[in-house]
Amino acid sequence: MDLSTILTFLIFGLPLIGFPFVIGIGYIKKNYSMYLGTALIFFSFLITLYLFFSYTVNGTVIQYSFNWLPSLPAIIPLGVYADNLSMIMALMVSFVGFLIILFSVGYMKEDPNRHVFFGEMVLFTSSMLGLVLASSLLMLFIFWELVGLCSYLLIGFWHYKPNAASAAKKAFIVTRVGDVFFIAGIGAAILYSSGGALSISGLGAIHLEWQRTIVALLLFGGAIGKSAQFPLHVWIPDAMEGPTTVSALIHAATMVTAGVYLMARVYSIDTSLLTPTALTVILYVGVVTIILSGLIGLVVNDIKRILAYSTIGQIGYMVAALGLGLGVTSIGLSIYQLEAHAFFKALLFLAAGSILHAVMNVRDINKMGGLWKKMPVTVTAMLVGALALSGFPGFAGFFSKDSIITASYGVSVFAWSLLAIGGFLTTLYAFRMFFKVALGKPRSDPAEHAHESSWIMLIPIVILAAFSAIFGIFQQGFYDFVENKPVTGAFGIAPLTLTDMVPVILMLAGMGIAYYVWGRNSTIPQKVTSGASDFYLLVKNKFYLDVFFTNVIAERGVIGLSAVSDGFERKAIGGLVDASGKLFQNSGKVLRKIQTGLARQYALIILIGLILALLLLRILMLSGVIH
Amino acid sequence: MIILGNYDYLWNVFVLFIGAFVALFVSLVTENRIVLVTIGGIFAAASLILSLLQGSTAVSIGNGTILLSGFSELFFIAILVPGLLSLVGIAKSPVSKKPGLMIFIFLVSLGFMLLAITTHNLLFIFVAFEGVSIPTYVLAAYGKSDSELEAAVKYFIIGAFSTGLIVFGISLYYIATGSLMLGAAPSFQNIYFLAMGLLVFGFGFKLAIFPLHGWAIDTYTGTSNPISSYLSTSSKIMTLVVLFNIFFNSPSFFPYLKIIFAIIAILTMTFGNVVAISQNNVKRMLAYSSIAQAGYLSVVFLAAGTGAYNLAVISLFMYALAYGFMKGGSFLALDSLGNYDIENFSGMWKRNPVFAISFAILLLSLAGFPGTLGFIGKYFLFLSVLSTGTPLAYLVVIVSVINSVVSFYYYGRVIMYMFWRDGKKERVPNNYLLYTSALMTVLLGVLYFLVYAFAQNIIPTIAPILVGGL
Repeated sequence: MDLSTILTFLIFGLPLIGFPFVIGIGYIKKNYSMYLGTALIFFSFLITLYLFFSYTVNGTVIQYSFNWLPSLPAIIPLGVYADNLSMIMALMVSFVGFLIILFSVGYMKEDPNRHVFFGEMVLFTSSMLGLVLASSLLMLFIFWELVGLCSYLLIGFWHYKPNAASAAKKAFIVTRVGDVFFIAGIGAAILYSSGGALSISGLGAIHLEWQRTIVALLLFGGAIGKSAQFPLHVWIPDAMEGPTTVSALIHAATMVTAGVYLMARVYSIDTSLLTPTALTVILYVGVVTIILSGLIGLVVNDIKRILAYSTIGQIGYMVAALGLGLGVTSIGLSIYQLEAHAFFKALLFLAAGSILHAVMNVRDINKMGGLWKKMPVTVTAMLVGALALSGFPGFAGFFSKDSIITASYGVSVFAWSLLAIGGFLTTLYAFRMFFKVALGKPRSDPAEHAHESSWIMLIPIVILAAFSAIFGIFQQGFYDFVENKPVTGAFGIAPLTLTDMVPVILMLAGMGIAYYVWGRNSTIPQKVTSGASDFYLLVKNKFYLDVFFTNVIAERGVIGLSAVSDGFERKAIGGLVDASGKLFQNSGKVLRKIQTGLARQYALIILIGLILALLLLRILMLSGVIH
Repeated sequence: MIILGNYDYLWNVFVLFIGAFVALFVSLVTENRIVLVTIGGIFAAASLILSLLQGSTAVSIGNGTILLSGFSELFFIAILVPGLLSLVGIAKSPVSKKPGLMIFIFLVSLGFMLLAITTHNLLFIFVAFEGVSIPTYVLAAYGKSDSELEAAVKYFIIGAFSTGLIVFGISLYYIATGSLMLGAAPSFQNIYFLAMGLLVFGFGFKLAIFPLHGWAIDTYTGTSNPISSYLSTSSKIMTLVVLFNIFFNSPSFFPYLKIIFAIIAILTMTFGNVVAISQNNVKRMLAYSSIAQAGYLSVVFLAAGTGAYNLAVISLFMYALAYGFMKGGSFLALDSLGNYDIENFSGMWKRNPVFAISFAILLLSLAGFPGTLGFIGKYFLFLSVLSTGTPLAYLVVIVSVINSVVSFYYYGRVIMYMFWRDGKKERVPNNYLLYTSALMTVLLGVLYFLVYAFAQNIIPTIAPILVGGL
């Protein structure tokens, strides 16, 4: 094990070991845990940065595995695998994680349980880093579950709010559905590769086409749950009940991208692992998610839920980019969108958090308005975020998202048109939100008395805004890095083509429409809702997916099934356990009686035992049963 | 003709004897318990350090009478660690007014324990074994209360009886093989087997396996806590290793050995667990549970003569280490309480949360709860036996696992009293030996691969010496 391997372990090991101390030190003084937690993530970030630069210089993939459970016949490798994909993910996770935990120092400073919060945040970040650096699917799965656990804990952090508690449960259960697919996928991969796929780099040992399709689709099932794609996206909007920084961390930078990372990881091992069938499924799941979430985003009024639906849609672009099946180019497109999205979505969430902090947690955008004057820095940063999100030329989203749309033109014109419409919808909801928040007059009392947040909350916002604005200049260098080409230079923008103009025109049109409809006093929204009331209701009810899951699957299916098995459990198994317990208890009472306390009796028992044993020996010898 | 050489390698034994006399002479000047225990502790710790430093080279002293190897090093550690815990426990325990003599006896017996597991000559084993027995009779009686005297007398009577069996067994062994060295090939099979059967019963009494368990319950319950801890850990592990040395060197006895120990293991663990269920006195419950644990430990004999040998030794070491911590720690924990009735544990969570958590950890480890060293030891032990693949092994392991499940009932009952019953209110003093044991159980349970790697590094040297017959 050389230094770089140890450092790679430390990236996630340091916060993983440190998180109990973060919570523990909080019992001495609550604020200490804030400082310790921030410091831990900062160190992780520094180590990642160092490894990232040393990787760009010498380009050696850090690979180290040891055998977990050496007693088992199979070799189960655990360890680290850090290539360009893992590096860039780790860098993003630790950097955005650091900014968000810094923001939390201001945001959570009055919460009585903040030491627990920081402990959970540190654990979350470390598990996410472990996830991207894992060398085997099994280890990836362990961290995947840890991430799920932390998100459950963090979403339910304000557990005294019934909404938060049920949202946490919903997130946990829905992602669990995906995890079933994931673990089945791991099993299938190991089976089909005859054990080779225990370590990630052995995935290529699956040879048959149909086997690859099955493995790819099962793993994608896991990714759907974690990355909130249709139809398992339903948990994210409810998860907005957690503290806003949690939303930013989980829903922008980290947890939701785990699924995309998983698919990219698989795809990067061997581009033929995702077969054409699997690619088509992946592409259209992404496209459907984009359109659905864009539509729903237009009718929701809760500022955090708008961002949640926007997250779902943006991840849809990442998934669709992988589904285009362009090999390493797809990975480059997808991961670049992932990183850009991490910055501008974290920015939007933090800006929203800053606004909510100012308006006493009133989350309805209809009750805001006129905030640009009251909190100029935050709302300007939000404008940057909205521009980046909708892909205004020059901002991050333009380079990341529009590149995907352009690339899809060569694959399928149908998909291209849907992706472009998705971009249009994105612009509409982004600017609907922005105009309602920023312009007009304050529409409620808290909005009237809003004021700018403290500097510690503004610093991360400004940094993220800067990144969202200029991230495009890294585009070419980024693609080269992810695609493992010789990097010509860190800066550079991929050349634009004519088809690029379509999304830009749609985007500008969307901005105009948004201003026309929501940026000033107008009655158009009411007219549209009453004009197309059926469609409006369908979208407003989120396409009845939640109702379907709750009423049909959960209440009719799962609860019915569990009632049956509960009866079986109580009557059959419970009866058996009770009976055996009673048997043991009664025989205990009997056997106890031979413990008389008389030493001579003990000696007698020994003697009888000895005679019996010798007799047994004699019988065995005579009968010759054993040789 | 016995030629002593290489005795430098036995310094870890010598320091114990030296320490014993130092303690004795210091006690002429002062009878301060803390001072004397510190002296004893320093020498025992020195012995532990010397054992750790011993290295894995195989050394033969006196024509193979004493064989030092990685094997003996492992079990030096497994014996010295709980020995040290019990020794330090004397400092707190209200045992006697004359601790100097007690430390002297304690260290002498500890020294003989180390000798007993290294010798490969039956006569030496016998002497060393008696060198352990006689001091421990005295230790058991040391407090001079009625219960302690009763405990000691029973221990002594059964011990003397077993000594008779051992002597008889050794003489038959000599008749059968014409040698007192272990691993001698028998000329008379029948007498040899008779000798082996006698040795199982003679030596087995200290291990408290099923028909030989009677004294153990009364003695463990009756004597003071450090001595209960000492008798049920160090002394038991020593006996197990002695039996291991004897039987793993007698290949022609293997098939019978397996059947006998399969029966003994099943009976022992079932008996211990079943009776422990109906105990209301926690110390007595722990005594029964240590019978059950002896059953789990003796499962290891099923690995005799198979390729699972190395794994069996490593896992026996891990389980012995775990056993030392959890049994030693739980007996020593009782010193913080005046009365061992289970009612007296109620409300522990409010009276001293650290105590409650630590004690619960030890109980869970005894039951084999994942995440503790007890689980790891049991897991590897069963795994090594299972890897022999015989139906007998499967039967024994299945029974063991069922027994582990049953044991959750009575361990869990104490935990339930500690956490969910309100009762007593008075505070319980801190018990740092308990905390140390609990911490080590969890720490080594999590970092078990370090223990495993440590044992694995040492082990290659044992195979050629010990298992010549394989």
